[in-house]
Amino acid sequence: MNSLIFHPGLILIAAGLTAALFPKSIRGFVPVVGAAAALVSMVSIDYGTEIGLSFINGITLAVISADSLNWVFGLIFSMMAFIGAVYSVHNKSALEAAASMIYAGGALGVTLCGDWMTLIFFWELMAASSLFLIWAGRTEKSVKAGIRYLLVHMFGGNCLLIGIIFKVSAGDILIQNISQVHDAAFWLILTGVAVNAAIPPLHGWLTDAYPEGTITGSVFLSSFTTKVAVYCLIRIFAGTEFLVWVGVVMAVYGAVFAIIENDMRRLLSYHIVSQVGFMVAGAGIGTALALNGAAAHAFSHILYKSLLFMCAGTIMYATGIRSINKLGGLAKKMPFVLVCFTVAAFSIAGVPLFNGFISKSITITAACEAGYPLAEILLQLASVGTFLSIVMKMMYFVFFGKDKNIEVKPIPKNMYIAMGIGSVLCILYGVFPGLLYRFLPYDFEYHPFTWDHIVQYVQLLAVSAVPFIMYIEHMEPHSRLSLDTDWFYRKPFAWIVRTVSSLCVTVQIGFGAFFRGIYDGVRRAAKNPLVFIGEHGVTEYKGAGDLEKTQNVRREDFDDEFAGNDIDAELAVAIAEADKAQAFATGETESNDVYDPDKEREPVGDIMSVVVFTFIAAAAFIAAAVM
Amino acid sequence: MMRKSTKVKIYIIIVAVCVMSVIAEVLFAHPHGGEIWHTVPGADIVIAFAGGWILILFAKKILALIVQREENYYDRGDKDE
Repeated sequence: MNSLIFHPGLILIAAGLTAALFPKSIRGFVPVVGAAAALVSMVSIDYGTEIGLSFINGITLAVISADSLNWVFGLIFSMMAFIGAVYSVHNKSALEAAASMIYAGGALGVTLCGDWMTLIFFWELMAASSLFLIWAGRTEKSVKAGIRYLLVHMFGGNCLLIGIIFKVSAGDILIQNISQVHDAAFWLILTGVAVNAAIPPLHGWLTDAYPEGTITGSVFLSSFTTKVAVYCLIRIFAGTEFLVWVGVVMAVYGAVFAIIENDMRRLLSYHIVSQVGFMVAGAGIGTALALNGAAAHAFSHILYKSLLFMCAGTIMYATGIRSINKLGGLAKKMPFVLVCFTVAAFSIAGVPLFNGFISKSITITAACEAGYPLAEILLQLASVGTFLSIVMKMMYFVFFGKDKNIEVKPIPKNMYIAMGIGSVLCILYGVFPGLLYRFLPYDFEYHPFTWDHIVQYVQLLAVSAVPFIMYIEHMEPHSRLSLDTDWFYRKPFAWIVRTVSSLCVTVQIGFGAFFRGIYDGVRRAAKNPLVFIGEHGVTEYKGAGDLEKTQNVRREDFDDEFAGNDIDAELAVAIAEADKAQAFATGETESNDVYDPDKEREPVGDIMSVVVFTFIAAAAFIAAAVM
Repeated sequence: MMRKSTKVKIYIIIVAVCVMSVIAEVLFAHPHGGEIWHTVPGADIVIAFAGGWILILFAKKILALIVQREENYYDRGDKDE
């Protein structure tokens, strides 16, 4: 398997491109085959596998540099690509088939590579391809959310790129832990990764865009971008202490916002923020136990979160409804979805024997052992919030709430199969944690099924239900929108842009005469520099009146200089007639003495006018920014 | 909405689970930390109840008032975006 053609990411990308070319009837199966091949290829990669590709200036790109850390992430990304492909078999969209596979391939490319340049290439590929999973929603909201997603990720990607340029120009080609020196490259790369990890306040894009993706697209979106960022945090920033508190804030922040959320997929998006907070905190703690906890939780999170998105997507597919308060009584109508949702909800809450328990408890224990008791308490609080909003609120109101006589249309079988696979894996890893633990990258010893851990989670989760039941009348969500940090660029920043734009236009209009004078002068000079030294030599005509004057002047000139010479006088008349015909042909005689620069443009004049306008716009922008 | 009898049944089950878990904690569990919530049996019950209560009240009574708007908040005039 020492060849690039066996790169799991490239296999997925090829599958995506191929799927787009296949007829609709079999298009949905191509990604499944491609993802299965990628999974086999991923499993076949051994630790220590190095595959390089010659680049410019004698640089060799480490396209695959496998070790125990990226292997476990590569494994779950490959598995998720397969589950997502199965869930999407019924989807005939060539765009979505290609985008989802390229996106998953990009995630594997970032994970498996060993150098900065390959990382940034696949990083941007992920951003570009995932964008189309949002735009494929083909609604006004999804298009706008996609544009905001694009702008935020352009910012993050450019920060990462500049940081990488700093590293590469300093001779650091290979990816390594850079947490020791907090230089410009450190902050730039961290900002780029933080955008993808949805670290507040840079998380607004996630809760804004993921709910607007397509039903199948959101399953992919929920699995890759943030977890690739978590991988990068473990690889590059392990042991960066302030990330502990960043992660704790994320965990609580997402859990609190989820309590008041009404849109199913937006609620789940907030729980991505919350759960990724556990992983960020683990990366920040930096001990072997914590890093294993972060990796294990990313693994578990991909399984149960994708399952939750699949369940939510299936409900949306069957009912056409995405708001929790408009759903209810689906337990009898969608029993299989209820079972799968219960598995996923118990997993994310950390109920023993489900996969969230075997990973979440590692990070909390690591926080305790590393001397962060407050972080431990707050992470437990986030677990309580997760239980409240998903197990209690979402499950109760969607499946057991008042039956609103919602019509449920049949669901494609492939959706059932994908949800079934996800559910089985959540339980399998929850019951047999050794299946995951043996692939974790760092040496550690941890036993999840101790009395201490089990009793702790039973008490935490069972009692969490009490406040919910006490306040159940207040827990039903309302048709309201929660403002988040995306408000800053959707309202005030948009206002600033509009204001500056208006200012530019106002300045342009206000300086119109001045601007036109400059343009006119430059244009004349470009056409005939003698204008500026007092020589006329004018060959242009401004209108009928000027034309007549010019003809008279020239005729008088001829008459004066060639008095008595009829031939020359006749020649002058002929010239005048020719000039008049030319002026008529070019329309200048209709200009009515009003100069219209659009009718005859000069390159120098155009460039000069653009330069002047740019200066004015820049001055206005700087003035607005300073004020 | 949930009936009162159902609520009572759930409360009884939760109390039973708590009692059994505290007994199990006293008899079998070995604390994995030295903080008070690791050593006092049933401390997680207090954390869960207080934590859940605080989260719900904060989210519903404070956060919702601050951040929640009409669903068409961003759609009221496309020029705002």
